[in-house]
Amino acid sequence: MKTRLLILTITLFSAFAWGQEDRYTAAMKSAIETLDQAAQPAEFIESASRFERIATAEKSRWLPYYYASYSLVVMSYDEQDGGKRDQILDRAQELLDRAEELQPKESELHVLQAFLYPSRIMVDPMGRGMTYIEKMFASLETAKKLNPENPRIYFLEGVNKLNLPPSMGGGAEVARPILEEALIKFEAFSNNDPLWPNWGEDATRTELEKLQ
Amino acid sequence: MRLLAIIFMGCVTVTGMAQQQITGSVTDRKGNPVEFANIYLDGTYEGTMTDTTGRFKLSTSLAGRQILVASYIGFEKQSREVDLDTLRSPLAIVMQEAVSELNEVVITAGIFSASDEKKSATLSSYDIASTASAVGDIYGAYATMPGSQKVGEEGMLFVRGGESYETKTYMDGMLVQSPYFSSMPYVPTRGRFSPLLFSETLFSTGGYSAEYGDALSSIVDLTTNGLETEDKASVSLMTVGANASWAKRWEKSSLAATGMYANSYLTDRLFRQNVDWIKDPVLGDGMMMFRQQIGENGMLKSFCSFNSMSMRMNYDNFEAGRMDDLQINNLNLYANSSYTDQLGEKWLIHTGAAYSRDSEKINYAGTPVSTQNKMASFKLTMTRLTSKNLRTRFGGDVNRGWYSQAVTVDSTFLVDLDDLTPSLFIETEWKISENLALRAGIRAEYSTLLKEPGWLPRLSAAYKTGTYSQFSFAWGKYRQKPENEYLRFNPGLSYEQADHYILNFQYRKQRRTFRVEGYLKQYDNLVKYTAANIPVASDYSNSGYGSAKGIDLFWRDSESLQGSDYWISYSYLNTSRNYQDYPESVAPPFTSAHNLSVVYKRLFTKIHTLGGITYSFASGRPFNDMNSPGFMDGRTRPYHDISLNLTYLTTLFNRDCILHLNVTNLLGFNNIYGYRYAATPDENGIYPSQAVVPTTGTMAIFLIILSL
Repeated sequence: MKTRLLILTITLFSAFAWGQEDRYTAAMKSAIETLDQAAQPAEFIESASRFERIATAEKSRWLPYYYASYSLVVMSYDEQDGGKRDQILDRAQELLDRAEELQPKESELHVLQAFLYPSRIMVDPMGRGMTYIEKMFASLETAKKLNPENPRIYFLEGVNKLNLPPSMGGGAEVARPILEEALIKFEAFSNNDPLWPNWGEDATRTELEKLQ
Repeated sequence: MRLLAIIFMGCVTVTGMAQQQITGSVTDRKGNPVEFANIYLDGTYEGTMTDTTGRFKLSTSLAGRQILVASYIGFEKQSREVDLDTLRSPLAIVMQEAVSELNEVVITAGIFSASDEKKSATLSSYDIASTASAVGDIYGAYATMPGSQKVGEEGMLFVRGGESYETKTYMDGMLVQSPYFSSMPYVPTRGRFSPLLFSETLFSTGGYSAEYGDALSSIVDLTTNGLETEDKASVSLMTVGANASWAKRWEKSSLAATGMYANSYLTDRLFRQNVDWIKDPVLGDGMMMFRQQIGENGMLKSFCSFNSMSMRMNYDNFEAGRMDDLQINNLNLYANSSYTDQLGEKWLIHTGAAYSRDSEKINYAGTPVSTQNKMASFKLTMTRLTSKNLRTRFGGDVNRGWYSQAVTVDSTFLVDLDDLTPSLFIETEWKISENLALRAGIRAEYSTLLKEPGWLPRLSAAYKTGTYSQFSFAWGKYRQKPENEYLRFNPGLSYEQADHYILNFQYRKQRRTFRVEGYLKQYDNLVKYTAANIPVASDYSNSGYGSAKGIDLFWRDSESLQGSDYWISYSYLNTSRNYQDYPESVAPPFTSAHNLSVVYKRLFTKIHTLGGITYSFASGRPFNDMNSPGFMDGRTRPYHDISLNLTYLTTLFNRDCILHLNVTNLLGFNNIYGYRYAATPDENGIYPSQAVVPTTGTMAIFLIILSL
């Protein structure tokens, strides 16, 4: 009887613990879904808000902060008002900094940082261009040092090259092999965490199709 | 089994517990609904978002005491404790707009800052580097700000009726003794330091903090770059020389070095010179910068530069009616190390040491004059962060200066002036409320040469009148040691003095800024003498005086025109002084009543080109017409200049490449800075005159930078 009771208690406790874990995963999955379907600013804010709520409950995890920041960065690209865009990016940067405090050696965080900077540049291309382009390349470099297999690095590099004219070392011919490499890395990329960032692959395919 | 049943029952009870609903609305302080605000119970997963009318409905299965948080971008996060068992909806939440750098109350009287990090800055460091009329010179860029005067034959900053020596330059908090290259008479000079070295610069046209001493009119404070972002190397070729630069970044430190050789031989041939060069100006320049991050917040910066310059001309000594051989060789060394860190939660420390040595050998018509200026400085400041709204800075510096000059006419005359100037300051910045900030400080100074202790109070305040607008005010007492050229004849002179009164209004909404500033500057104790260069101590006194008052206007709009950016500066100046050998109080020749600058920049994305154009205007400058009975009653014709620059980004040999073209005085205006008169009249009793004109008319510089 005693043994059975013990087993039962353990089972119940682990179920409880598992339930906790599951609550995190479930909440994250549902928020990621919101993010994946988001198109309007309000929807991005909603997903950012949901990730922020998870972050306040799961203070030791970097992914909720990462996703909250990512939602805002994506949204910022559609904000036309420079002042408002800066406010959104300030918040995104704050969240990203929190994530980086928790996991300073995470390649994905530096990729996100490199994804954030161009949005800053677009507020004031002349005044900010020089400084932030350098910072962006430095972030990509760091991301590559931490994990050269991270496909999102190559995706961003490819898109950067694509936006540059041939006279400046860019253009379709330069971008294609980088995007192709990105795609190979996307296909090879695997992570045990089902919540791991997975953006970029579809966009890489779309860009490559456009280049055909 | 009974136990199991109880546990299961328990589970059922927990999950089956009634859902509680919290409703409410969120508004800003004016009562406008705040949409999309995040409303949640802290540390739980439970939360919701407000709708477009600012209302929310939060369903929760939690009970008891919880923290309800409301947050939204651009607003202060708000939390309150709620008891879910007794809570009565609807809740009315009022959110406060966050105090961001943009809408914070900041003292702006007299200050123009350029920064990439601080959003309250008026300019970015790129603006400084890319202003067409400045040709890459920091002082040239600040000459397009209101309050500065166009004095084309000098190339230095002249601020609000003050002479160029009344503006002092600081680098990383340390006084820089000779910030400009040597200059020949009537040939403009420029700053020694490239604008690309600095991530932040500050130009104050008056009313500056108690931290700065020994400057009557103005200061330029330069903050060198932090860690280099990445490894890089580049070479550049210019029509005036060549430059190589290199930088290496390690995880917590970086090292950068540049070397430059400049020779104006080619441009002096391409563009007609109003100067008869025997030897065109040649400059060799080397710079090194080391940075080391220490701990989490500590930063050690070391900067060292060395340059050597030489030039020789046939100087048209119109006053005497002959050509004189004039030769200058200058060697300048400047080293500066500083350390900043945060000590615990409440303290910031900044300390530094600097050494400079400037030796200049002039040979004027066979008379050698050798001048050596050395200075060693040490500085320590501490900042106490009492709270978010109250901080106190205090500290002190010691400057040890050695000046010596040897003039050889028949025999050698030697002058030696050594000076030790310790000073202390304390200053408190207090944000009394969200709308009101106050800064009060005092500076104590002493000089072993002048032996006059001084107490110099400084006070400034800012009051916000709306979300985007504020008034600032500044008042202070300033003093400066007389220039060595006077002290060498009379070391018993005392400090020149100035009182500043400034009232400023600023309206700033996102990327548009409007400022208007009125000021009064009262000069006293200015150096006076009967005739220049008489080596008799009793001829020099502090009986000079003067005043300057005026209005400065500034408008910048980086928002309205897509891809374009422009600013307009206008200054009105009413000044007069009686100093040097003036018989009465008049407007001095380096001033003009009206100064206008229009700076326009545009990015041509399709052709990867940045273009900039600058228009400058100054009304006529006073000159002393020897053929008129009055003193200094002549006025030159107005000054006009249009300058242009184009920067084209491309690749060459598979490497990033920048092509840059800078043209000054594009339309070839025939500007006149003043007139010189022969010392003796001709046979008709008329003094012959000669116009002081720019050294060149239209002038172009071409530059190509290739990154390696």
